[in-house]
Amino acid sequence: MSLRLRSLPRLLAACSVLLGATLAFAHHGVTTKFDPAKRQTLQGRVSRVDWANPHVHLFMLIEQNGEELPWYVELESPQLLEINGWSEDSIKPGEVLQIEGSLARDGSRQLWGDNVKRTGSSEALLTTAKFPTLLSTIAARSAEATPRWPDNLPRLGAAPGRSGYWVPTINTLQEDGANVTMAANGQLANVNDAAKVAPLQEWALKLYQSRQNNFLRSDPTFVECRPPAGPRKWLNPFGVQLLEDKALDRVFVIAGDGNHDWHLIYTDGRELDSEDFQLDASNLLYYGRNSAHWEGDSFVIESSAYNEKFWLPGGLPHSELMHATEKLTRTDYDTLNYEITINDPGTYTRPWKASWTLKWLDGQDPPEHYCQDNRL
Amino acid sequence: MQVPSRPVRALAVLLALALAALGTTATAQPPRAAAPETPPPRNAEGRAILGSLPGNVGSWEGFGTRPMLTFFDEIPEGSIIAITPYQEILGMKDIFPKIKLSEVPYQPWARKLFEARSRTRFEPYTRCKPSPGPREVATAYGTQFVEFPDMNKIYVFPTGGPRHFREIWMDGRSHPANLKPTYHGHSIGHWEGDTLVVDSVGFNEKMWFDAEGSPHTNQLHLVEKFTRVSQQRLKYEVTIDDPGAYTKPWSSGYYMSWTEGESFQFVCQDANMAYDLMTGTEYQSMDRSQPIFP
Repeated sequence: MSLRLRSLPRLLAACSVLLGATLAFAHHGVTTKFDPAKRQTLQGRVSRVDWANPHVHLFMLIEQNGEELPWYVELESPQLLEINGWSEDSIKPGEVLQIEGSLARDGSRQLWGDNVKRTGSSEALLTTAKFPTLLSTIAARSAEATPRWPDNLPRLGAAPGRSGYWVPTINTLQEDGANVTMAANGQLANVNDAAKVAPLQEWALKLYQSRQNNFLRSDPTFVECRPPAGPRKWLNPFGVQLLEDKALDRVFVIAGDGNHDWHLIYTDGRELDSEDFQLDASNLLYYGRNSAHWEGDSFVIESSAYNEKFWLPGGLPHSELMHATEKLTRTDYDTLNYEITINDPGTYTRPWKASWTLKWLDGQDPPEHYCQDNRL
Repeated sequence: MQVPSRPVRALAVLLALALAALGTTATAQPPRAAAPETPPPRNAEGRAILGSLPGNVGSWEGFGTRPMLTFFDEIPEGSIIAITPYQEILGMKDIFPKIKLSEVPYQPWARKLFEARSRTRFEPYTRCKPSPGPREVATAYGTQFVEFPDMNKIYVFPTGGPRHFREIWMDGRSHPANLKPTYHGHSIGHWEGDTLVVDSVGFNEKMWFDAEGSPHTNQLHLVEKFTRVSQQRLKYEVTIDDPGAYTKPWSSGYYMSWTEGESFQFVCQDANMAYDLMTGTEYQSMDRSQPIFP
């Protein structure tokens, strides 16, 4: 007992450090590439600023052992840096900076910069431990009723003349009730917890563990800018927008992440295996085939025909047998309750369910975001 | 001298990607006989709509719009731009009177850059980059225009390319001051009779606005006019005003054909294997002090 009490302050301190790390490595698999345990402070001259999605890079020249060597310092995404008051012109080539951060796992001259100062100045230009996320920018508003169409069905988007989109309150996927500790990118605090995350079949558990042990390296959505496919779009830190095209019985889904991807959910009652899907009827797809209907105030999306070229969040595997049932319920203007049941007899031992909430970001559209931006 | 192997390999991959993309657009769509024309569909107010009516979802295809904006009355030395007159081969009506290449009011540097681009055609689009204006509208596999009246916006959803889209504000707003440059810029539109007039500014310099690589700067200002002359045909006109690259504004355009059927989930990045090309992945082997493509 007394031992536990004495350890408490240390435990709390450790927790706050962990919390800081979680915020700093909020997305895009930063821990995939960088090792938070390998810290380094660099001092040198900026040769170029690459202000591009998904992450900004400072090209630095650092004097080491008598020669000037090129280093890349990776910073957060332009959108998050802008929320923090930065712009493309905040740092100019030629400036001398002191940057603290985590070194690349592969030993290359790369640093994830989480504390940036001008040399000689004590004031931090950037401290990612205090970095706001898009979710944290959503200001509290007085309660407002769910907006509705003239036929009284809830609107999935903005009321007439307004704009906005949805930002998830979490970014990770696990079965409801599992309560496994993981970072915001899905990296498990303890890989031994892998079997608790979802009812994985043996082969799938091995694959999941292998992806986890490799820090989620080679996630196609990150390394190849593949779509934030399947349920990933509902867990994007940059949100998701729903545009209801009532006249043609379809809903456009806009991903705030990836390459500003869009895809369609049909609301004309078509069957998932029907020829109504036209050119999408004979292919396996990143976003699957989606057909939705209303059950009371809940928008229920049935989907299947997913390809196997993407990972579920955190590296959870799936097969082309995956069928997802998603239920969206807008309980007030600012709240969307989301629930997914994944039925994939190729990968899991039984269907399993996960649920979370998305919050309304009022008065804005997702800004242009292209993963492909940063490539030549 | 040390020969870096990765950039060479990456270039080879890029070249393969670019050629694959060119091949795809050239072969994917079989020629069609011109359909008999009928009047354009209209909304409740009597104005022609650019999109679909219930039960008749379709897209606009720009096949036959190569080169997009310029008629090659002269061939730049070493150009590999295809100048096959697809429109004539397909027997399409009303071939658009495109501006002659010799009459495009290039500034000298822009003409030189255009010639350099015409020799390589390393178009950003073929590397899954988004593109605005004429290049976006005439993307492979068709483009849909969707009106969202409650939002006072029209969206442009091309099927091909990196699953990009553009929004056009129809609520009478002006362009914001201090626009941050983006691939699609900021678009505001209004109707003049049956013609949608769209004014766009705020472009970055990372993209090409046509498939042939007409140069531009971030001063680019596009005025586009969309007129559905019939159920089957859309007239697209564009005026390019960029005092950074041209000595005066110039105009051109093309016709598009209505194709029935819904869009499909085209994902350019599906074959995105050259991840070495992403900043921060190639571990210093690639010299990024200069852009490798003009």
